[in-house]
Amino acid sequence: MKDEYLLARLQRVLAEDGSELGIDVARRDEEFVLTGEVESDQRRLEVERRVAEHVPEARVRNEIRVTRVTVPAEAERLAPRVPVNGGEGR
Amino acid sequence: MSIRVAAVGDVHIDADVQGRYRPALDEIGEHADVLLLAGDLTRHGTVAEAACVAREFGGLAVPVVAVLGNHDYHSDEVPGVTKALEDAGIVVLEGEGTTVDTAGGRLGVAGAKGFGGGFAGRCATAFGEPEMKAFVEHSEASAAKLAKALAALECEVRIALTHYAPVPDTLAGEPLEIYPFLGSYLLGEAIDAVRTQLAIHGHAHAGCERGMTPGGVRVRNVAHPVIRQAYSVFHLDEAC
Repeated sequence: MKDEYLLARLQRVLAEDGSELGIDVARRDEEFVLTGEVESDQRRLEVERRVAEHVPEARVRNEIRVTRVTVPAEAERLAPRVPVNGGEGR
Repeated sequence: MSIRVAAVGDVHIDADVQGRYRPALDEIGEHADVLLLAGDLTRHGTVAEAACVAREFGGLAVPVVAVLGNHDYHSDEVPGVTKALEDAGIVVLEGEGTTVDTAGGRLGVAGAKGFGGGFAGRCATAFGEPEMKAFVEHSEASAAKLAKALAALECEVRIALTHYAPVPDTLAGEPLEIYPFLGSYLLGEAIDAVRTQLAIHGHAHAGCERGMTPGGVRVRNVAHPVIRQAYSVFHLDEAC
C-alpha cells in the first residue's frame, strides 16, 4: 500500500476506533513517528499499539505527550477592548 | 474589580483519567469565580463517561457551565450525558444562556456546540446534495441559537462559549485543509452581533490560544492540549 493511503488509514483508525483525533502519524524511513497529546499514559500506549498492529513490519517511535493538569501559573488580564484591527490576532 | 473566568475544553474524561484534574480543581475558588467547559468532556459520549465527568467537575467551589462537543455526541446518548452533568450541578448550554453573580459584576454566558463549515470566502454552502445542505444547515442553526442566547442575556460582562471555533486565528497550527471541520465564521458573526467581551472555544488541539473576531471580540482556544494546564484563567474588567 502506498504510504499516503496507509497514513490516511492509520489516522482514521485512531479517530474512529480509538477516539484520538489529535494524533499525527508520519513516516521517516522505516519508522512511524507518532506525535500529539493525550490525557493519560495508558492512552499514549494504546495509540502506539493500534499503529503497531497495522504496520507490524515497521518500528513505531512514540513521541506523544501526556498533557499536564497543573494549576495555571498566571491569569491573563483582558484589558478594555482595543479598536478593531488594533493589533491582536492575525 | 475583575470577573475571574477559568476555562478548559477537550478534557476527554473516562475512568482511566478520573481524579487527574481534582488537585487543580480543589483550589479553583482561589483563582476564579466560574469554570467554563468548552466541550469534548468525554471520549465517546457515553453516560458512563459523563458520570466520570460529573465526579471530576462536580461539587467545586465555583459554578461550572459547559457546552458539549462532537465527542459527547458520538454514542447518541446526549440526553443521558446532559442529565448526568446537570445532576452534578453543571449547567449545560445548547442555545441558551445563564448568568453568574460575582464580586466583579454579573457575568452572562451564552453557549452552543457550534459546528464546522469554514470561514468567510472559503466556506461550505447549502447547495447541491441533501447531505451538504444538512451539514451547512446544522452550522447555521447552531450560530442562530448562539446569537439569540447572547442577545437575551442581561448582564454586565457577556461571554460566548462554543466547542467549534468562531474564527480561523486560533486554528493556526492545524492543517489548512481541515479548517472547515474545525469551525464556522457564522459563529463569529453571531458573536459580533451583540456586545460580547470574550469568546471561548475548544476542538482545535493543534491550534493556538489567541485570536479576535472581525468585530474586535477576543477569542481564546482553551483546548487542553493547547493550554497545557488544568484550566486557563482570564480576568475581565468591568470596563471591557
